[in-house]
Amino acid sequence: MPSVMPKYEVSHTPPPGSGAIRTFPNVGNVIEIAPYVSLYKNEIGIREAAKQRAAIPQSITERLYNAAPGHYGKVNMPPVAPAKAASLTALGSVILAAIGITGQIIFGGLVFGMITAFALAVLAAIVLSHGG
Amino acid sequence: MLDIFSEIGTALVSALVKIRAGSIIATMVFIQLAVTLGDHSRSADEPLKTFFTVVAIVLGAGGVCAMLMFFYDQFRARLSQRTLGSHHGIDEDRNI
Repeated sequence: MPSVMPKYEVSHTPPPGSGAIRTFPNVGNVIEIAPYVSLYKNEIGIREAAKQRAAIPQSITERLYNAAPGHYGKVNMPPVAPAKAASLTALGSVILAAIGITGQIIFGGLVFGMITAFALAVLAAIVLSHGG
Repeated sequence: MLDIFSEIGTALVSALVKIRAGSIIATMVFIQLAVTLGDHSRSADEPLKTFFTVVAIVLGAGGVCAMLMFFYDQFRARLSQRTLGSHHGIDEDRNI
């Protein structure tokens, strides 16, 4: 069990059937509020957990994951959908990387290589920031 | 129009996150920089040639480290999945 757990604020009413209880042999009861986050039953009540389904921001899920990565893990915490700006940036970086690679193949040189590396670095940052 | 691009970007990021591709893209960045600088070092003047060669070697080593991190991360994710997931069975699964 994690030693440090974050506190929560309930601000939304959940739709019915928005979560599930799962019991794992070596962990205990885990409340899974797919596709957002899993919580331990003894840390927060089922209803309270379900109420938070629409209210848990990414910062909380990251703190939950950091509190007990071995238990919450990648299994029980699917990634949060990226924001619109992040999606457009990712798409733009892929296009820029394609342009850079094409230019590098055709023309060669330092500039196209740097463009490709920059675009890929942006894409890597976006993917890594979303838990990938 | 912007929404279409946004949806495409969301699908792209979600797919990359799902396969946990962040580390391998970071590896590509390092390798890309190493190849570019290594290639550039061939046409550089003598003092800069050594500099670009050294930087390319350092970035190549960074790429190898990032690749090892990727494999470690994949291994740890699989281990975690086995510990928590269906391998050992889920006793109870009900809706609330």
